Amino acid sequence: MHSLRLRPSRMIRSLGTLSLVLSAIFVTGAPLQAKPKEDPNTIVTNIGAVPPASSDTGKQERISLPFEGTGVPVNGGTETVNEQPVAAVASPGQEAGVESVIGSDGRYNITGTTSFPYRAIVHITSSIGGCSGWMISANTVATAGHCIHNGAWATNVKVYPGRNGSTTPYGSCNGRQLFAVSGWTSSRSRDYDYGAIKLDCTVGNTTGFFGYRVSSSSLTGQPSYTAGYPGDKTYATMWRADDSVRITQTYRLYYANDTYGGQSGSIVWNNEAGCSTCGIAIHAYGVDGTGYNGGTRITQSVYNNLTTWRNAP
Amino acid sequence: MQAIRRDGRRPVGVLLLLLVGLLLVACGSTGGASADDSDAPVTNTGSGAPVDPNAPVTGFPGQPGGAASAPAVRGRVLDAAGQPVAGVLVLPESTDSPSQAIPEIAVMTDEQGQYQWSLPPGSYTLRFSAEGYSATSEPVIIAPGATATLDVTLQKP
Repeated sequence: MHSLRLRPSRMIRSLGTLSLVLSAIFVTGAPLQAKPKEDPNTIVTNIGAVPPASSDTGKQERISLPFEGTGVPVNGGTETVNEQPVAAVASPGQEAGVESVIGSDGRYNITGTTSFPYRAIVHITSSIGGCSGWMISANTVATAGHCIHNGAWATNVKVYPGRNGSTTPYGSCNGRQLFAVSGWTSSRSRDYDYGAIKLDCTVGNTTGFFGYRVSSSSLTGQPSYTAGYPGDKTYATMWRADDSVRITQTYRLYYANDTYGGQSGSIVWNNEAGCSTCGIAIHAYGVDGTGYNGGTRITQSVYNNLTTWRNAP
Repeated sequence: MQAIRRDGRRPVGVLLLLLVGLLLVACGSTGGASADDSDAPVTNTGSGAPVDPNAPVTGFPGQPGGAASAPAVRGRVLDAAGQPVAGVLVLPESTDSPSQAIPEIAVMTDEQGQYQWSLPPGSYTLRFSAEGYSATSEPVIIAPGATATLDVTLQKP
Protein backbone atom coordinates (compact mmCIF):
# COMPACT_ATOMS: atom_id res chain seq x y z
CA MET A 1 0.00 0.00 0.00
CA HIS A 2 1.18 3.39 -0.85
CA SER A 3 1.31 5.84 2.04
CA LEU A 4 -0.62 9.09 1.57
CA ARG A 5 1.53 10.98 4.09
CA LEU A 6 3.90 13.65 2.80
CA ARG A 7 7.34 12.11 3.01
CA PRO A 8 10.21 14.21 4.35
CA SER A 9 11.95 14.21 0.98
CA ARG A 10 8.90 15.63 -0.70
CA MET A 11 8.59 18.26 2.02
CA ILE A 12 12.18 19.34 1.46
CA ARG A 13 11.64 19.43 -2.29
CA SER A 14 8.54 21.57 -1.82
CA LEU A 15 10.41 23.96 0.43
CA GLY A 16 13.20 24.22 -2.10
CA THR A 17 10.77 25.03 -4.87
CA LEU A 18 9.01 27.56 -2.68
CA SER A 19 12.30 29.24 -1.85
CA LEU A 20 13.15 29.51 -5.53
CA VAL A 21 9.79 31.06 -6.26
CA LEU A 22 10.16 33.50 -3.39
CA SER A 23 13.68 34.42 -4.43
CA ALA A 24 12.49 35.04 -7.95
CA ILE A 25 9.92 37.41 -6.54
CA PHE A 26 12.54 39.23 -4.49
CA VAL A 27 14.95 39.55 -7.40
CA THR A 28 12.32 40.96 -9.71
CA GLY A 29 11.20 43.11 -6.83
CA ALA A 30 7.49 42.69 -7.38
CA PRO A 31 6.08 43.07 -3.87
CA LEU A 32 9.21 44.68 -2.34
CA GLN A 33 10.31 46.96 -5.12
CA ALA A 34 12.58 49.80 -4.02
CA LYS A 35 10.64 53.00 -3.61
CA PRO A 36 11.31 55.46 -6.40
CA LYS A 37 13.91 57.95 -5.25
CA GLU A 38 12.45 61.31 -4.22
CA ASP A 39 13.60 64.39 -6.07
CA PRO A 40 16.02 66.09 -3.64
CA ASN A 41 14.53 69.45 -4.64
CA THR A 42 11.16 68.40 -3.21
CA ILE A 43 9.87 71.27 -1.11
CA VAL A 44 9.36 70.75 2.62
CA THR A 45 7.97 73.23 5.10
CA ASN A 46 7.64 73.59 8.85
CA ILE A 47 3.96 74.46 8.94
CA GLY A 48 1.05 74.49 6.59
CA ALA A 49 0.85 73.05 3.14
CA VAL A 50 3.56 72.92 0.54
CA PRO A 51 2.64 75.49 -2.09
CA PRO A 52 1.94 74.23 -5.60
CA ALA A 53 4.64 74.86 -8.14
CA SER A 54 4.30 78.34 -9.54
CA SER A 55 3.02 78.59 -13.09
CA ASP A 56 6.19 80.54 -13.90
CA THR A 57 8.39 77.56 -13.24
CA GLY A 58 7.09 75.49 -16.09
CA LYS A 59 8.35 77.96 -18.61
CA GLN A 60 12.00 77.22 -17.87
CA GLU A 61 12.50 80.88 -17.20
CA ARG A 62 16.02 81.92 -16.45
CA ILE A 63 15.86 85.40 -14.97
CA SER A 64 13.79 86.89 -12.19
CA LEU A 65 14.33 90.61 -12.27
CA PRO A 66 15.11 92.75 -9.21
CA PHE A 67 12.95 95.52 -7.82
CA GLU A 68 14.42 98.55 -6.07
CA GLY A 69 11.47 99.47 -3.86
CA THR A 70 10.81 102.89 -2.33
CA GLY A 71 13.65 102.74 0.14
CA VAL A 72 11.90 104.94 2.71
CA PRO A 73 13.07 103.88 6.18
CA VAL A 74 10.61 103.56 9.05
CA ASN A 75 10.67 106.22 11.74
CA GLY A 76 13.17 108.24 9.73
CA GLY A 77 15.65 105.41 9.92
CA THR A 78 16.30 105.91 13.62
CA GLU A 79 14.79 102.66 14.84
CA THR A 80 17.20 100.67 16.90
CA VAL A 81 17.14 97.32 18.57
CA ASN A 82 18.81 96.11 21.71
CA GLU A 83 18.74 92.36 21.74
CA GLN A 84 20.73 89.80 23.67
CA PRO A 85 23.37 88.71 23.04
CA VAL A 86 24.77 91.77 21.35
CA ALA A 87 28.38 91.83 22.45
CA ALA A 88 30.65 92.94 19.65
CA VAL A 89 33.34 90.58 18.68
CA ALA A 90 36.84 91.30 17.46
CA SER A 91 38.19 94.76 16.84
CA PRO A 92 38.26 95.99 13.27
CA GLY A 93 41.54 95.09 11.69
CA GLN A 94 42.08 92.12 13.95
CA GLU A 95 43.13 89.10 11.97
CA ALA A 96 40.13 86.92 11.47
CA GLY A 97 42.16 83.76 11.73
CA VAL A 98 39.84 81.36 10.03
CA GLU A 99 39.97 79.87 6.62
CA SER A 100 36.98 81.68 5.14
CA VAL A 101 39.06 84.85 5.04
CA ILE A 102 41.43 83.84 2.26
CA GLY A 103 44.73 85.62 2.39
CA SER A 104 44.41 89.28 3.34
CA ASP A 105 41.00 90.42 4.46
CA GLY A 106 39.27 92.10 1.51
CA ARG A 107 35.98 92.84 3.24
CA TYR A 108 34.69 96.39 3.49
CA ASN A 109 32.02 97.80 5.73
CA ILE A 110 28.73 98.92 4.21
CA THR A 111 27.33 101.78 6.25
CA GLY A 112 24.85 103.05 3.68
CA THR A 113 22.49 100.15 4.24
CA THR A 114 19.42 102.17 3.20
CA SER A 115 20.55 102.27 -0.42
CA PHE A 116 19.76 99.52 -2.88
CA PRO A 117 20.74 96.73 -3.02
CA TYR A 118 22.03 96.76 0.55
CA ARG A 119 18.65 97.47 2.05
CA ALA A 120 17.45 94.18 0.53
CA ILE A 121 20.09 92.25 2.48
CA VAL A 122 18.88 90.99 5.83
CA HIS A 123 20.31 89.92 9.15
CA ILE A 124 18.65 86.76 10.45
CA THR A 125 18.50 85.58 14.05
CA SER A 126 16.95 82.33 15.21
CA SER A 127 17.39 79.40 17.55
CA ILE A 128 20.08 78.12 15.19
CA GLY A 129 22.24 81.25 15.26
CA GLY A 130 22.99 84.33 13.22
CA CYS A 131 22.75 84.20 9.45
CA SER A 132 22.26 86.43 6.45
CA GLY A 133 19.65 86.47 3.73
CA TRP A 134 18.26 88.50 0.86
CA MET A 135 14.81 89.65 -0.15
CA ILE A 136 13.37 87.97 -3.24
CA SER A 137 9.85 89.38 -2.95
CA ALA A 138 7.84 91.66 -0.71
CA ASN A 139 7.60 88.98 1.99
CA THR A 140 10.19 86.33 1.12
CA VAL A 141 13.80 85.94 2.16
CA ALA A 142 16.21 83.51 0.50
CA THR A 143 18.86 81.98 2.71
CA ALA A 144 20.86 78.80 3.31
CA GLY A 145 19.00 75.63 4.26
CA HIS A 146 21.11 75.17 7.36
CA CYS A 147 20.07 78.61 8.62
CA ILE A 148 16.50 77.40 9.03
CA HIS A 149 16.86 73.64 9.49
CA ASN A 150 19.65 71.81 11.33
CA GLY A 151 17.96 68.53 12.10
CA ALA A 152 14.91 70.44 13.22
CA TRP A 153 13.29 73.63 12.04
CA ALA A 154 14.55 76.89 13.46
CA THR A 155 12.34 78.77 15.88
CA ASN A 156 12.06 82.46 16.74
CA VAL A 157 13.18 83.46 13.26
CA LYS A 158 13.58 87.21 13.00
CA VAL A 159 14.73 89.24 10.03
CA TYR A 160 16.22 92.76 9.98
CA PRO A 161 16.52 94.25 6.47
CA GLY A 162 19.33 96.70 5.89
CA ARG A 163 20.49 96.38 9.44
CA ASN A 164 23.49 98.49 10.47
CA GLY A 165 24.58 97.43 13.92
CA SER A 166 21.90 98.38 16.40
CA THR A 167 20.13 100.51 13.79
CA THR A 168 17.31 98.78 11.95
CA PRO A 169 16.07 101.28 9.37
CA TYR A 170 13.27 98.98 8.20
CA GLY A 171 12.43 97.46 11.53
CA SER A 172 12.12 93.72 11.84
CA CYS A 173 9.79 90.98 10.67
CA ASN A 174 9.10 87.51 11.98
CA GLY A 175 9.41 84.34 9.98
CA ARG A 176 5.95 82.75 9.85
CA GLN A 177 6.79 79.85 7.54
CA LEU A 178 10.04 78.21 6.54
CA PHE A 179 10.84 76.34 3.34
CA ALA A 180 13.68 74.02 2.42
CA VAL A 181 14.07 70.90 0.28
CA SER A 182 14.34 67.25 1.17
CA GLY A 183 17.83 67.02 -0.28
CA TRP A 184 18.86 69.16 2.67
CA THR A 185 16.45 68.26 5.45
CA SER A 186 16.58 64.50 4.88
CA SER A 187 19.86 63.86 3.10
CA ARG A 188 21.91 66.76 4.54
CA SER A 189 23.53 67.24 1.15
CA ARG A 190 25.36 70.51 0.62
CA ASP A 191 24.15 70.40 -2.98
CA TYR A 192 20.66 71.30 -1.73
CA ASP A 193 21.52 73.68 1.08
CA TYR A 194 19.04 76.43 0.36
CA GLY A 195 15.73 77.64 1.74
CA ALA A 196 13.42 80.56 2.26
CA ILE A 197 11.56 82.43 4.99
CA LYS A 198 8.06 83.80 4.51
CA LEU A 199 7.65 86.93 6.58
CA ASP A 200 4.73 88.36 8.49
CA CYS A 201 5.29 91.68 6.70
CA THR A 202 5.72 93.03 3.15
CA VAL A 203 8.89 95.01 3.83
CA GLY A 204 10.22 94.06 0.39
CA ASN A 205 7.93 96.63 -1.16
CA THR A 206 10.05 99.22 0.61
CA THR A 207 13.50 97.64 0.59
CA GLY A 208 13.15 96.20 -2.87
CA PHE A 209 14.41 92.75 -3.65
CA PHE A 210 17.12 91.03 -5.63
CA GLY A 211 16.64 89.19 -8.86
CA TYR A 212 18.13 85.78 -9.47
CA ARG A 213 19.09 83.87 -12.56
CA VAL A 214 20.08 80.50 -13.95
CA SER A 215 23.04 79.92 -16.17
CA SER A 216 23.45 76.51 -17.72
CA SER A 217 26.99 77.31 -18.79
CA SER A 218 29.96 77.82 -16.51
CA LEU A 219 30.10 81.02 -14.48
CA THR A 220 33.82 80.71 -13.84
CA GLY A 221 35.49 84.05 -14.32
CA GLN A 222 32.33 86.11 -13.79
CA PRO A 223 32.37 88.65 -10.97
CA SER A 224 31.04 87.48 -7.63
CA TYR A 225 29.86 89.99 -5.02
CA THR A 226 28.63 88.98 -1.62
CA ALA A 227 27.46 90.91 1.42
CA GLY A 228 26.11 89.83 4.76
CA TYR A 229 26.64 89.89 8.49
CA PRO A 230 29.94 88.31 9.56
CA GLY A 231 30.13 87.47 13.22
CA ASP A 232 33.71 88.64 13.71
CA LYS A 233 32.84 92.29 13.05
CA THR A 234 30.88 94.70 15.19
CA TYR A 235 27.64 92.92 15.85
CA ALA A 236 25.12 93.00 12.99
CA THR A 237 27.11 95.25 10.71
CA MET A 238 27.06 94.59 7.00
CA TRP A 239 30.23 93.75 5.11
CA ARG A 240 30.87 93.10 1.47
CA ALA A 241 33.63 91.31 -0.42
CA ASP A 242 34.27 91.07 -4.15
CA ASP A 243 35.99 88.41 -6.21
CA SER A 244 35.14 86.18 -9.14
CA VAL A 245 33.74 82.70 -9.51
CA ARG A 246 36.72 80.34 -9.33
CA ILE A 247 35.05 76.96 -9.77
CA THR A 248 31.67 76.06 -11.28
CA GLN A 249 30.17 72.73 -10.29
CA THR A 250 26.78 71.29 -11.06
CA TYR A 251 25.29 72.34 -7.75
CA ARG A 252 27.87 74.71 -6.26
CA LEU A 253 29.90 77.77 -7.04
CA TYR A 254 33.25 78.50 -5.41
CA TYR A 255 34.86 81.91 -4.99
CA ALA A 256 37.49 83.70 -2.91
CA ASN A 257 35.19 86.38 -1.52
CA ASP A 258 36.19 86.73 2.12
CA THR A 259 33.41 85.60 4.40
CA TYR A 260 32.93 84.61 8.02
CA GLY A 261 30.54 82.81 10.31
CA GLY A 262 27.22 84.62 10.15
CA GLN A 263 27.28 85.05 6.41
CA SER A 264 25.59 81.78 5.60
CA GLY A 265 22.63 82.62 3.39
CA SER A 266 24.24 85.72 1.89
CA ILE A 267 23.52 86.42 -1.72
CA VAL A 268 26.29 85.93 -4.25
CA TRP A 269 25.41 88.22 -7.12
CA ASN A 270 26.71 90.00 -10.19
CA ASN A 271 25.40 92.23 -12.96
CA GLU A 272 25.91 89.91 -15.91
CA ALA A 273 23.64 88.46 -18.57
CA GLY A 274 21.41 91.50 -18.67
CA CYS A 275 20.41 91.13 -15.03
CA SER A 276 21.71 93.74 -12.63
CA THR A 277 21.84 92.72 -8.96
CA CYS A 278 20.89 89.14 -9.73
CA GLY A 279 21.79 86.28 -7.45
CA ILE A 280 23.78 83.40 -8.86
CA ALA A 281 24.34 81.48 -5.63
CA ILE A 282 23.48 81.39 -1.93
CA HIS A 283 26.61 81.48 0.20
CA ALA A 284 26.80 78.59 2.63
CA TYR A 285 30.27 77.33 3.59
CA GLY A 286 33.76 78.42 4.37
CA VAL A 287 36.83 76.98 2.73
CA ASP A 288 36.71 73.29 1.89
CA GLY A 289 38.98 71.00 -0.09
CA THR A 290 38.76 73.28 -3.11
CA GLY A 291 40.53 76.06 -1.23
CA TYR A 292 37.59 78.42 -1.74
CA ASN A 293 34.39 79.46 -0.04
CA GLY A 294 31.27 78.02 -1.58
CA GLY A 295 27.57 78.44 -2.09
CA THR A 296 24.58 76.68 -3.52
CA ARG A 297 24.37 77.43 -7.20
CA ILE A 298 21.07 78.70 -8.58
CA THR A 299 20.21 75.88 -10.91
CA GLN A 300 16.91 75.53 -12.74
CA SER A 301 15.51 73.53 -9.81
CA VAL A 302 16.66 76.12 -7.28
CA TYR A 303 15.24 78.88 -9.49
CA ASN A 304 11.92 77.05 -9.70
CA ASN A 305 11.69 76.62 -5.94
CA LEU A 306 12.70 80.20 -5.18
CA THR A 307 9.96 81.30 -7.56
CA THR A 308 7.42 79.00 -5.98
CA TRP A 309 8.29 80.30 -2.54
CA ARG A 310 8.33 83.90 -3.76
CA ASN A 311 4.84 83.50 -5.20
CA ALA A 312 3.41 81.64 -2.20
CA PRO A 313 1.08 83.73 -0.03
CA MET B 1 19.86 -0.17 -0.78
CA GLN B 2 19.01 1.26 -4.17
CA ALA B 3 16.00 3.02 -2.64
CA ILE B 4 18.12 4.41 0.15
CA ARG B 5 20.79 5.65 -2.36
CA ARG B 6 18.05 7.31 -4.44
CA ASP B 7 16.52 8.94 -1.38
CA GLY B 8 20.01 10.10 -0.24
CA ARG B 9 20.63 12.03 -3.49
CA ARG B 10 17.33 13.90 -3.35
CA PRO B 11 17.90 15.64 -0.01
CA VAL B 12 21.32 16.81 -1.26
CA GLY B 13 19.78 18.14 -4.43
CA VAL B 14 16.98 20.02 -2.76
CA LEU B 15 19.35 21.35 -0.12
CA LEU B 16 21.44 22.78 -2.93
CA LEU B 17 18.25 24.23 -4.34
CA LEU B 18 17.52 25.82 -0.97
CA LEU B 19 21.03 27.24 -0.78
CA VAL B 20 20.75 28.78 -4.23
CA GLY B 21 17.38 30.17 -3.31
CA LEU B 22 18.73 31.73 -0.13
CA LEU B 23 21.66 33.25 -2.01
CA LEU B 24 19.29 34.74 -4.52
CA VAL B 25 17.16 36.12 -1.71
CA ALA B 26 20.23 37.70 -0.13
CA CYS B 27 21.24 39.26 -3.44
CA GLY B 28 17.75 40.56 -4.03
CA SER B 29 17.51 42.23 -0.64
CA THR B 30 20.82 44.05 -0.85
CA GLY B 31 20.46 45.26 -4.39
CA GLY B 32 18.45 48.25 -5.42
CA ALA B 33 18.84 51.79 -6.58
CA SER B 34 21.65 53.70 -4.95
CA ALA B 35 21.40 57.38 -4.46
CA ASP B 36 22.78 59.40 -7.26
CA ASP B 37 21.67 62.97 -7.27
CA SER B 38 23.93 64.06 -10.09
CA ASP B 39 22.01 64.21 -13.33
CA ALA B 40 24.19 66.66 -15.14
CA PRO B 41 27.84 66.62 -16.09
CA VAL B 42 30.29 68.37 -13.86
CA THR B 43 31.12 71.74 -15.27
CA ASN B 44 34.24 72.24 -13.27
CA THR B 45 36.32 74.54 -15.38
CA GLY B 46 37.95 76.60 -12.70
CA SER B 47 41.56 76.87 -11.77
CA GLY B 48 41.17 75.14 -8.42
CA ALA B 49 41.51 71.43 -7.76
CA PRO B 50 38.58 69.50 -9.23
CA VAL B 51 36.10 68.24 -6.69
CA ASP B 52 33.76 65.35 -7.27
CA PRO B 53 30.25 66.69 -6.63
CA ASN B 54 29.23 63.21 -5.60
CA ALA B 55 31.87 63.00 -2.90
CA PRO B 56 30.56 61.79 0.47
CA VAL B 57 28.51 64.41 2.20
CA THR B 58 30.37 65.97 5.05
CA GLY B 59 28.05 68.87 5.50
CA PHE B 60 26.33 70.25 8.48
CA PRO B 61 24.99 68.86 10.73
CA GLY B 62 26.01 65.35 9.76
CA GLN B 63 23.30 63.19 11.18
CA PRO B 64 22.23 60.95 8.30
CA GLY B 65 18.57 60.30 7.86
CA GLY B 66 17.59 63.83 8.66
CA ALA B 67 16.03 63.10 12.00
CA ALA B 68 16.12 65.87 14.53
CA SER B 69 19.67 65.71 15.78
CA ALA B 70 21.16 66.50 19.15
CA PRO B 71 23.92 69.08 19.14
CA ALA B 72 27.33 67.54 18.50
CA VAL B 73 29.13 69.86 20.87
CA ARG B 74 27.83 72.10 23.61
CA GLY B 75 29.32 73.97 26.48
CA ARG B 76 29.52 77.02 28.62
CA VAL B 77 31.82 80.02 28.60
CA LEU B 78 32.73 81.64 31.88
CA ASP B 79 35.05 84.41 32.89
CA ALA B 80 37.85 84.11 35.41
CA ALA B 81 35.39 84.86 38.20
CA GLY B 82 33.18 81.99 37.14
CA GLN B 83 30.46 84.20 35.68
CA PRO B 84 28.83 83.37 32.34
CA VAL B 85 29.92 85.43 29.36
CA ALA B 86 27.19 86.20 26.83
CA GLY B 87 27.75 87.10 23.20
CA VAL B 88 30.89 85.04 22.73
CA LEU B 89 31.31 84.02 19.11
CA VAL B 90 32.02 80.30 18.84
CA LEU B 91 33.52 79.25 15.54
CA PRO B 92 34.60 75.72 14.63
CA GLU B 93 37.41 74.91 12.27
CA SER B 94 37.90 71.41 10.96
CA THR B 95 41.28 69.86 11.69
CA ASP B 96 40.57 66.73 9.68
CA SER B 97 42.44 66.04 6.49
CA PRO B 98 40.82 66.80 4.15
CA SER B 99 39.10 69.45 6.18
CA GLN B 100 35.33 69.55 6.42
CA ALA B 101 33.48 72.61 5.22
CA ILE B 102 31.93 74.54 8.10
CA PRO B 103 28.55 76.21 7.64
CA GLU B 104 28.99 79.93 8.20
CA ILE B 105 26.54 80.45 11.01
CA ALA B 106 27.34 82.86 13.82
CA VAL B 107 26.75 80.92 17.02
CA MET B 108 27.06 83.04 20.14
CA THR B 109 26.68 82.23 23.80
CA ASP B 110 23.42 83.17 25.46
CA GLU B 111 22.95 84.95 28.77
CA GLN B 112 23.93 81.80 30.63
CA GLY B 113 27.11 81.59 28.59
CA GLN B 114 25.83 78.49 26.83
CA TYR B 115 26.32 77.53 23.21
CA GLN B 116 25.76 74.51 21.01
CA TRP B 117 26.86 73.45 17.54
CA SER B 118 25.68 70.61 15.35
CA LEU B 119 28.60 69.24 13.33
CA PRO B 120 29.53 66.02 11.56
CA PRO B 121 31.79 63.63 13.50
CA GLY B 122 35.43 64.62 13.28
CA SER B 123 38.15 66.72 14.81
CA TYR B 124 37.74 70.45 15.28
CA THR B 125 39.17 73.46 16.95
CA LEU B 126 36.59 75.76 18.50
CA ARG B 127 37.57 79.41 18.62
CA PHE B 128 35.97 81.61 21.27
CA SER B 129 36.14 85.37 20.85
CA ALA B 130 34.46 88.32 22.52
CA GLU B 131 35.22 91.97 22.98
CA GLY B 132 37.14 92.60 26.13
CA TYR B 133 38.57 89.11 26.31
CA SER B 134 41.51 87.32 24.78
CA ALA B 135 40.38 84.91 22.11
CA THR B 136 41.08 81.28 22.81
CA SER B 137 40.91 78.06 20.84
CA GLU B 138 40.31 74.56 22.13
CA PRO B 139 40.35 71.21 20.35
CA VAL B 140 37.36 68.90 20.42
CA ILE B 141 36.67 65.52 18.89
CA ILE B 142 33.10 64.67 17.96
CA ALA B 143 32.38 60.97 17.93
CA PRO B 144 29.49 59.55 15.87
CA GLY B 145 26.22 59.76 17.75
CA ALA B 146 27.79 61.45 20.76
CA THR B 147 27.59 64.97 22.14
CA ALA B 148 30.87 66.47 23.26
CA THR B 149 31.05 69.03 26.04
CA LEU B 150 33.56 71.82 25.93
CA ASP B 151 33.53 74.45 28.65
CA VAL B 152 35.90 77.37 28.39
CA THR B 153 37.12 80.16 30.60
CA LEU B 154 37.97 83.45 28.94
CA GLN B 155 40.66 85.68 30.35
CA LYS B 156 40.93 89.42 30.16
CA PRO B 157 43.91 90.58 28.07
